[in-house]
Amino acid sequence: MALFFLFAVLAAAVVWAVTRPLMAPTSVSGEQPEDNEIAVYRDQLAEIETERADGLLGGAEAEGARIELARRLIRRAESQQLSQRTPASEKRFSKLALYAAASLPVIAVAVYLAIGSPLIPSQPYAARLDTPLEQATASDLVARVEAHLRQHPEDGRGWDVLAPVYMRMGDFTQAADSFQRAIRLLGESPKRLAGFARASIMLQNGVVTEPARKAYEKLRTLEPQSIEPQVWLAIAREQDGDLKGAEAEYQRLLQGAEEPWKGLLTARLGAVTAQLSGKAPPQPQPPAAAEAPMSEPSPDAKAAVGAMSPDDQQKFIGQMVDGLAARLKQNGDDLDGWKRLVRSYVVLGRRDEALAALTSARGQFAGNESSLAQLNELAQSLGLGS
Amino acid sequence: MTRKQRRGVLIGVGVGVLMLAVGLVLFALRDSIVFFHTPSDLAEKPIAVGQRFRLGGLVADGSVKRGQGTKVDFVVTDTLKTVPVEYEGVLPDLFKEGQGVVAEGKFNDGGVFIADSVLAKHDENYMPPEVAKALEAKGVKLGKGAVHPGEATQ
Amino acid sequence: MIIELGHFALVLALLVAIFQMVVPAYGAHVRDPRMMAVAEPAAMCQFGLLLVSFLALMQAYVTSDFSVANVAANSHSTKPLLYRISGVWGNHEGSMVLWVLILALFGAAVAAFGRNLPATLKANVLAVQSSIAVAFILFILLTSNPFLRIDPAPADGNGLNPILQDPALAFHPPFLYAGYVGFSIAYSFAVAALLDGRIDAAWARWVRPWTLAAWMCLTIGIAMGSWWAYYELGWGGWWFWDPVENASFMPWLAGTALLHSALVMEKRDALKVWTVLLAILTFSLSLMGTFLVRSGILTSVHAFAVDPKRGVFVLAIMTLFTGGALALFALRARDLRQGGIFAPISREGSLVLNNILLTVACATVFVGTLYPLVLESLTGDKISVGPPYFDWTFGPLMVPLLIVLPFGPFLAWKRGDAYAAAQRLAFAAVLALVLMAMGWAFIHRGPALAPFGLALGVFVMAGSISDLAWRARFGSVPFAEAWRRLVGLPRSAIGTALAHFGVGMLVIGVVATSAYREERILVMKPGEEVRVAGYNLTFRGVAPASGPNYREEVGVFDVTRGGAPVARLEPSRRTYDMPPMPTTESGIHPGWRGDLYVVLGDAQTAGGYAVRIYFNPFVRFIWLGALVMFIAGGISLSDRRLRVGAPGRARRIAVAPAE
Repeated sequence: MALFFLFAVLAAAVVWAVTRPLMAPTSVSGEQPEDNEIAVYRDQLAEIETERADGLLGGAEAEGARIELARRLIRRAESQQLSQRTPASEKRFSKLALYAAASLPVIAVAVYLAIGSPLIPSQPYAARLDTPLEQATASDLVARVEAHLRQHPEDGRGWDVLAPVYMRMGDFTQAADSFQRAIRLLGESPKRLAGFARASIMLQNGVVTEPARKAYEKLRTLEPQSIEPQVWLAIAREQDGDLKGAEAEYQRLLQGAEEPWKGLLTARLGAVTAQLSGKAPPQPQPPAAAEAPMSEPSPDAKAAVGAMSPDDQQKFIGQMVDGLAARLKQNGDDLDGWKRLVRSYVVLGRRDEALAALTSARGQFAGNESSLAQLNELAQSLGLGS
Repeated sequence: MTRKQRRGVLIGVGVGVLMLAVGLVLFALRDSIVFFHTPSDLAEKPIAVGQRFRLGGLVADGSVKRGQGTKVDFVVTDTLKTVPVEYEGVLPDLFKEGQGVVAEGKFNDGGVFIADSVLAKHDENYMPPEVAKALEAKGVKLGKGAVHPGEATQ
Repeated sequence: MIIELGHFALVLALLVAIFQMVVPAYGAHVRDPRMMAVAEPAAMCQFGLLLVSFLALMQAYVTSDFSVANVAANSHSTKPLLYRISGVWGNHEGSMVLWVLILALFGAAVAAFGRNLPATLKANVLAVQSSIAVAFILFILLTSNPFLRIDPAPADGNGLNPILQDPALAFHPPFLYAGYVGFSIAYSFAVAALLDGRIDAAWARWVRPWTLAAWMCLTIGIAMGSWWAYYELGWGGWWFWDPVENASFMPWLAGTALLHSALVMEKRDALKVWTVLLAILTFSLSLMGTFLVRSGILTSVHAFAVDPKRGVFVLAIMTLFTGGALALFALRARDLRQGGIFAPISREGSLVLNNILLTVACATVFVGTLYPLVLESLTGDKISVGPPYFDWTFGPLMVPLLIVLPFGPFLAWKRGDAYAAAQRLAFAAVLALVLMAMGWAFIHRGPALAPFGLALGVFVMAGSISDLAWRARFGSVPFAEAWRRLVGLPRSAIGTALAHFGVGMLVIGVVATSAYREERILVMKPGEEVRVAGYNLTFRGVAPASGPNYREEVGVFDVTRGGAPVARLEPSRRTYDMPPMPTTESGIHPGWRGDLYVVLGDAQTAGGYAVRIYFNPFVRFIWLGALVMFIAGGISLSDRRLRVGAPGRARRIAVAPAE
């Protein structure tokens, strides 16, 4: 309640200051300032005098100016007499003003309570870094670790701790970066590799990027029995256009798969089979990370996507592909990215855009023979002409 | 001079200056205003060679090619139509493919827009307002979570 | 807790402002001294409360309290302290708090120093001033409250636009606002006088110091903004006729006119109606500046947020205060008695001409700034009015102004002697003409009119020196005596001459830079050398570096002149961490003769870097001129007679050793 005590002090001071003149005995003032007005003219007269003495004004000019001022002085005095109305002390209104002044704090508190947040304490950055662990909120902890890591960027354990937190907060850029740093500083572990791969896939809206694929490949050699890397590597195959290979993998993995993987695999398998059998149009069911099970998923994102209507889902998927497109616009130096984008567009049935992306990619790698050759190969495999 | 005459002189001077200013304003407005067009505007309403205007749109992906010295070629697009642009000079910090730009200059005989100034503002999310408005008018949605034009038609 | 105290103080300030708006005005109406006396403590309280509010917000910025939404959106924990402080007004909400704080500061200053103002005038002035505060505090609370909180607080903030992280820009807004808002006092005085139905020469004397103070701040504020644009934006230019620049320039032009017309009013009791109108217009233009910038109609680094609600609100405030005052003016202006008469050739005459030219010039800027907006809303055509328009309209209007300017101080009040004035200016005129002839004879590049422009600047500078020399009677009395007289001159006379001298410097800077700038754009590889304006620049290469919150590529250029090393310039391209954004830092070698200005462009595919090199002759004169004007304003303000408060017993001190 210290806060409201301060409010009270502030308000009391204001009311005291504002009401003081209202309570003062009516003084017959008003004369003195009027005198000052005349003093202005007197001062001007003196000025004319000095200017004349300095030779800046001729005698006649000075005389003229003096006469004019004198005239103004007289006029002023006359008008003052006219305006010498006796101050009518408006007792009634004066009292009203007094009450109004006294009610200021009440209204202020009411307005403040409507818009202010008296219960939220100040949270200066430095203090947040010092709050006892039990009381700290998640973002306090993040802030604390971040501050620590700014000082000691080589502390791999810090990154290791922070990375999954970022993941849960949905900040995939930071998560991928932190996992990568942890890997560099502490070496590869299944947890870090999987985390990095997931973060990168989420970041790319479900596209298995080259670094993610490499991470999963390493994870597969480390933990050959784990299903997660195998599923994603299969999806990577599908995304690379190797539909047959992907189909075979999906079929193999589906045996003995448990939920949540089972559902995903079934869906992917259906899509791939449909495409292979040439059933047009290919289902706009892209390799979606969001619906893919993560053993440490962001529950919110998952729930959100699951709850989406098919329409919304499709929109969401479209946005994911656009995310990739946007990224490539910013940094076009990613051949795999371009290939994936072209493929995604084809999968979504957005052929024109696939062609446009292909053109952009060719522009990007103009002069780079091997990249161009790869792009041509891709175009042919997707039936986008040469 | 009487009071009236004196006032007449003052008013005369005032009106004279005002007339002069109006003349200058009209003259300058005729000569130094620059219209703003997007590539699709140009397709609808071609502009004469040598006429100055501002061209606004996005820098087409993969279109930026550096030539001799500080010469740069790029393509401005509003995602519907495109215009090739040639510019000699240093590009602003935020000039990037896929970003909004406003170039000022004129067409040469070959239908290439020769720009003498290129603007890209100092804001990461900046889109010159003319560009944003023009693009929105053409059904291209902008802003956070911007949707690719193709999407809008689906 | 402190932040909530600030929020409460802001709410309380609003209520006090409403109180201050109503009670003293009614008191002045019925001539109740007690109610009128309320204005004074209320103005003080209002200022105190807003100060608490502002400091609370600043405290949140300094300690990086990200539970405050405004701080989280605009600051970052790694930002250096100076920019955490300046970050308070580096965003829309905070800058509006600064705006009302300065408004209240001026109000409190009137309350504190205006002890000898007539009671009714003072009560009315403070009531009107407070009504502006009411409008803007409401604006803050309803549309842009900086005290809103986020719970739980985010881990870190979004950072401040890196190009705003700059010392000159840290102080540009406070000065600019002090200028804008300072004109509110002139406005309040004008409206109060209209309410009172009485206005006289003494009124002008009370208004002048406030107008002068506001004008000084606006002058230096604009100069800082221009200087910042010069070195930070990396385009080598110092003024772009950008609508946002114009928004601050229009009140300056009108304010300069007001300063001069108030002088006529004080000395001769003439031009009353005009002066009152000008006071209203000047502040209205300040409000329009705020509106244009805040509404997001104009996009620029200044337009912090594009929020139509805010724009409509400020538009409403602007309409209310401009329209209200003009309506009052239309009702009451006829009651104002016309005062002293004067001949066309006289001090008054020259000041009237100054007013005509300045206001018309202001009007042309107004047209050029608003025409595109009006045209777009009417026909949908999008146009831009570029610098050529302003060169063609503003330029020609300044020429007669500058020619007549030196004559003014030599002309007597009421009826002047043009011939005598011309004689006293002979030296300045001959000097200017000789320089102009030399210019035409020896400078073969640049526009033919450029030597004329330079000569005008020299004429104005020499003219103001002649003014002081004549007043001190150099040449006709012994030197020591003349020197004594010079030192003893009224400070306002010295201030006038100095301010005009500053104008001359500015003209020279503007003309020289625009006409004789040298520009080279080329691709340079390490080891290559280029010659610009007598300097040899050797490109040494590019090295990476990093600062507290950015990384950069620094280009190194060794500059020599005639074989002797002059400087090492290090222009760079920075990328800030938060928000990630590239900026250009130019490398500048300043000098009296001009600035050597180097900007590092992007790396070329064929190797090397694009490099822009400018030589801007006498460009420093532009800002030095503005600085001189600022100092001159300060000297005038220190004149006892002009001192906030008005005349006093000790007038002997002011008018100094006459004998």
